[in-house]
Amino acid sequence: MTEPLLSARGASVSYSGSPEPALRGADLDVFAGAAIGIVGESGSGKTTLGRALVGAVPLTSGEIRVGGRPWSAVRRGNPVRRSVQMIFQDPYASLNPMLTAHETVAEVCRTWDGLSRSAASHRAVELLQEVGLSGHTISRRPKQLSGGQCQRVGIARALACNPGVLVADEPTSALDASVQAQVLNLLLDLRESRGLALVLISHDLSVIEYLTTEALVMYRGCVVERGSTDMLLKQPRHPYTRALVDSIPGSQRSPQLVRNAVDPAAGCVFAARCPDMMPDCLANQPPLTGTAGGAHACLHPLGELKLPTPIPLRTVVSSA
Amino acid sequence: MTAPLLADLRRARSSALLEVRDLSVRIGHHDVLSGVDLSVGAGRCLGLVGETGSGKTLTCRALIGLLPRIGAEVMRGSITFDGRDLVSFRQRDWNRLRGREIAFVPQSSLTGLDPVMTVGRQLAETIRLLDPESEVRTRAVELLDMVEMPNPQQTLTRYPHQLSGGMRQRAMIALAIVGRPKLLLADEPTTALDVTVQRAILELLSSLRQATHMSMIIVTHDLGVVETVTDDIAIMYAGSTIETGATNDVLSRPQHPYTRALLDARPSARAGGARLTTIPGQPPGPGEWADGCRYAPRCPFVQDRCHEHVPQLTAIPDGHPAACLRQEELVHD
Repeated sequence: MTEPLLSARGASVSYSGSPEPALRGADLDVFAGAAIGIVGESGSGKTTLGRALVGAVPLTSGEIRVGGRPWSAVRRGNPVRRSVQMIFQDPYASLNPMLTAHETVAEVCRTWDGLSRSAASHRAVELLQEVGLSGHTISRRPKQLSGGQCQRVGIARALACNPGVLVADEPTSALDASVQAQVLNLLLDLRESRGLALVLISHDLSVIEYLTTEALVMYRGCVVERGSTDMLLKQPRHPYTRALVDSIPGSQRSPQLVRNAVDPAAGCVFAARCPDMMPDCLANQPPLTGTAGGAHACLHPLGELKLPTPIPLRTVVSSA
Repeated sequence: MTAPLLADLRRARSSALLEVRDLSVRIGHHDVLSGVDLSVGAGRCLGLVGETGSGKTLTCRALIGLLPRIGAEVMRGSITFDGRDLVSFRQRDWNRLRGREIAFVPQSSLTGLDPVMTVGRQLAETIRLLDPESEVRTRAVELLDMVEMPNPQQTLTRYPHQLSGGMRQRAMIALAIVGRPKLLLADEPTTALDVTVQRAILELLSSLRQATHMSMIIVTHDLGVVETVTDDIAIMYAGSTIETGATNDVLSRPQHPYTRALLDARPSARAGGARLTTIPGQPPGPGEWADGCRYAPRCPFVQDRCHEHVPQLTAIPDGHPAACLRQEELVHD
C-alpha cells in the first residue's frame, strides 16, 4: 500500500481554559485522491481536527504525519507544508480585505514559488481561471465580490501551493443553495483534474453524501463512527450517527436523543444523550472497533436499521 | 381521499387569515419589493423561500409594521389580516396588533435575548403587558412547558448564556407566543442550529401549531425545512413571489424555471459524480432589475417576449400560480 499523504494517530488537542479536550485521540489516514467527510455538531471537534491536519493547532498528544514526518518536525519553509491546504467557512473573513483577488493569489505564488512579479501575476490569472474567475472580477477586493466568488478566490489561493490535500471547513455553509451547487461542482472538478484529496468538514449530510466516499462522525472530541459514507448514512451503528441521519429534513423518524442523569465526564462521551445507554457505558469511552470498512465506538451498536416508524410531522387542518 | 382534500383547499382559500396582494415596497429611490402575493389560511403554515436578498425578511417586516424603522415604505398593494387593511395602519394600531395577533421570531434570535436578565424576568416583562400580575409566574412556566423546555421551573432563573442554542430558540418562541397570536412569523428559525436541534425546533413548531391552531410563516432558504413543516410555499426571487402553491405540489411539479433550478441545485438531487445544476450569474440587486422578467437574464428557457413583459403570478389549469410566460409548456415537459 502506498504511503498516506497525511496520517493522524491518537491526535489530541486541549485548549487552555477549556474543561475538556477538543479532540481526543483521532486516527485518520488521507491517501491521494481520497474524499473524506467529517460530520458532527458544533463543538464536536470537527474544525479542531481540520486545523490539526493542516498543522495550525499544536497537538497535546498523538501525532499527525505529513509526507512521513510529524508536523512538529516540519520547519517553516519546508515545501511539505504546502501539500496540505485549507479553505474556510466564512469566505469574506478568510481573505485580506485590502488585496484584490488577483493580488491575493499572486502573493502566494511569489512567496512560495519564488516567482518574479510578472510570472506570479501570470500564474495567478491561470489559477483564478481554473476556479472560474476571469475578466474584471479578479481585480476586485473581497467587499466587491459575492460570497461564492470569495470562496473561489480562497480555493485558488489554496491551489497556488499545488497541494495534495485540501481541507475544506464548511465551505458552503454561508452560501445560498444555487451558489453552493457551483462550489460543490468546482470541488468535484478539482478532485478529478488534479487528483486532489479532499477532507470535507460539514454539518450538512447531503453535502457529505454528495462529495465524499468515506466519513468520520464526531461527538465531543471523539470519533464515534467511521466508514464508507454510504453505509454510515444507510446503516448507522452508533446511536449518535443514527440521530444525525434521522435529523435530515424529510426523514421519517424523529431523532432519538434523551437526557440521562449521568456524569457527562464519565464513560462514553455520548452516554448523557444516548437513548440506549446501559450501566456498562459509564465505565470507559469505548474504543473504535470494527474493520477497515467501518468502525464504531459503542458497546451496544445498533443492528440492522429497523424499518422507520412514520411519525406524522405535517399537521393537517381538519375539515370539521 | 380526493373529496376532503378539495374541501380542505377550498376552505383554505375562503378563510385566508392573511392576504398580501401585489405588495411593493421602496427604500429611497429603489424598489426592494415589487409584486409580492401570498396568503396564509387559518391554521396553515406557509414557507417563504428564497435566496439572500430576495426580499423574504423585508416581506416579514412589512407584515409586522417594521418598515419605517429602516426607511422603507409601501408604495402599492394591500395586506389584509383578519379583515383589516394593514397598509393603512398607524403606529398605535400596530402596537395593539403586534405581539397579540401577529408575533415575530427574528432571525438573530440566538442573540435576541437580553444577556443580563434571567429568562423568567424577560418572560414576566412581556406577560405583564397582557395578563394579570397574579398569573405571571404560572403563565411563564406554562409557556416554557409549551415550547418543551427541559426543567421549566429551573430555566426561569437562568441567564441566556447558561442556555444552549436550541434552548435559547425555545425561549424566543415562548416570548413570541405570550400574546397567543393568530399568526407567528419565524425568520430562519433553525439556521444557526445543529442539525439535531434544528429537527427538534421544527417538530416543536409543528406541535405548537397543532395545539394552538396558530397560523405560521416560516422564512427559510432551506428547501428541506420547507418540505418538513409547511403546507404551502411561496418562492421569492428579486423582490417578488414567483411561484406559490401547496408545498408537495410545488416541490414535485415546479412550474417556474427558478424553482426548478433551486431543486436541481440540491446535493441530494444528484448521485455522486454527476454535476449539480447551477444557475449562471447572480440575482439582480435593487436598482438592477431589468425590464420584463427579472429572472430572464439567467433563465435557460428565455425568449424575446420575456424581456418585454413582467409576468404575473397566474394559475393554469391543473397547476398552481407561477410568474412565468412559459409555465404551460414547462409544466408538461
